[in-house]
Amino acid sequence: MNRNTIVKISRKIKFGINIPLKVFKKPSSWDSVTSDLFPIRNDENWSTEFEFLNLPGLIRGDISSKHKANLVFFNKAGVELGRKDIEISGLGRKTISLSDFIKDDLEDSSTFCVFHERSGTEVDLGGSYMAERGYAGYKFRDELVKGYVHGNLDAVSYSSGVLQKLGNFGFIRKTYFVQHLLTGPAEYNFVITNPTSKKITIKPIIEINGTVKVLSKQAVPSLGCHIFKANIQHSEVGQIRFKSYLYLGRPVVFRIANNTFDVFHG
Amino acid sequence: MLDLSMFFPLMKTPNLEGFLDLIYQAPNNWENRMRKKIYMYLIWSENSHWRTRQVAIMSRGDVCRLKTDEIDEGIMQNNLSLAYASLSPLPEKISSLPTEKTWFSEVPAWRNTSGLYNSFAQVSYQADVEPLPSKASLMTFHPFIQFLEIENRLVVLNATNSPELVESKIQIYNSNEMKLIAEEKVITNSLSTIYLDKYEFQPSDLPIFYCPNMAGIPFGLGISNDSRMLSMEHTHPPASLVLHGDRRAIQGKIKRNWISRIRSDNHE
Repeated sequence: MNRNTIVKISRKIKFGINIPLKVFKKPSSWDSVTSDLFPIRNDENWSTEFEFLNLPGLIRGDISSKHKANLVFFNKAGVELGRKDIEISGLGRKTISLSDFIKDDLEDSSTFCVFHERSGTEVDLGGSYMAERGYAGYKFRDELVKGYVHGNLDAVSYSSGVLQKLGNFGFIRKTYFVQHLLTGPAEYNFVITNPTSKKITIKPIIEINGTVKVLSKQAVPSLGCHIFKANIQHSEVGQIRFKSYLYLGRPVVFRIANNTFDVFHG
Repeated sequence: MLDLSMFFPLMKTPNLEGFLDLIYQAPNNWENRMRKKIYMYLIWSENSHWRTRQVAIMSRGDVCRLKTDEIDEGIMQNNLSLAYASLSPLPEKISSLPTEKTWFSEVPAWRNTSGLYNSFAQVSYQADVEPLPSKASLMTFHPFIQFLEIENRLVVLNATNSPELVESKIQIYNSNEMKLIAEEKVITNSLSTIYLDKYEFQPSDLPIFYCPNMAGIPFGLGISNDSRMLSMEHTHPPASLVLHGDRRAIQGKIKRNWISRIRSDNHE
């Protein structure tokens, strides 16, 4: 048996043990649309916007028609708080301000999904599903400029008003190493969402200048969200990893320094 | 499927320096457990060949930060060089990019932080670059233009196996009405910068950028007028509008739909 064959077999075994199912399930209904679970930051320091585009129009090559989508809001425990319709008509882009919605019954929203109405795309998609993995924009304090980050995970699908959680989880804990060097002085916020149907405990382990520290673990309910925080001092350099049963425990990372910020996937 | 190796970009654009943080640590604990010493190279195009420069020798667990203002100017002559983890020393000149996979994984992809900075702020993304086909096109929808106290740029990253520096034109449209607004120059194996504010896009506009003969990774870059805030994110290819199924075919369909609009709206 040559080396390449051995490598291929070894890889298949590793995947079979660690990722026996796909990272994300296929929606069970042919007419489903999917969305990421986008974090909301809405307090005295933060506001959140979303770039709403006419997805079916972009697929068809014509954005002139009216198009609707459903915003679905969840609290940090993953409980659905409510739904709101948004609409775009003949425009290329509509910037949605989440603070217009996050009040009254939706006041405790921590995440949201965007489900586009299917209209005139059935023949275009074949066996594919329309997916919202677009762009959330975050503003910090009085800064006028947004930091953008695109959808992180193919988290939830929607069909005939019914939601389906698409994330899979494993039976062997996995460690996800955030692919970013933590440099100070900065405050880091790591936002982890749980796209699976089960409550998952996340254990963060941070190493700063060679010293390893296990931070408080957190159980994140299905469709829930948690922000882990770490402060890195001047001349400190660190790395962080997250241990859990998630196939892909990848956070959205906010790095706040010098009264400004950066946002990206970990 | 092409068996493509992984590179990590070090980028530069006018008035911003670039950085690349390299961590010899796979993103998960099960897929790629390599421990061999690697030679970290920066590779850049000199048109007829690729030049290489060893910048570090790394063992597992090591980290290395590269900054454009701390390396030879020649390495960044195209505003882009590619970091590559090699298991053995490379010659100073090579005719095509290395193909051996070293820092490689799939769930998720092995990436490193690549970004831009000034004296106030930094902005970054989790980066990896697989060489793009030489014969390919780019089409992207761009929702990143901001309108208050900011300079907006499109930056396009391209890297191909061949080192040739080839100029192409990227076409600029407004999705509301697909009349050609302008063409701007982009170059292979480079980071090309295009200034967008002169085109006076409005908040409800969605620019579409189309390059018929060069693929690329496009980014929206925003620099606040006081330089204190930077914003950068890459756009998705059209295939990202769908999940599962034959996404490549869908991407082809989307591109053809918009190219058809370009032809009809510009009376071609």
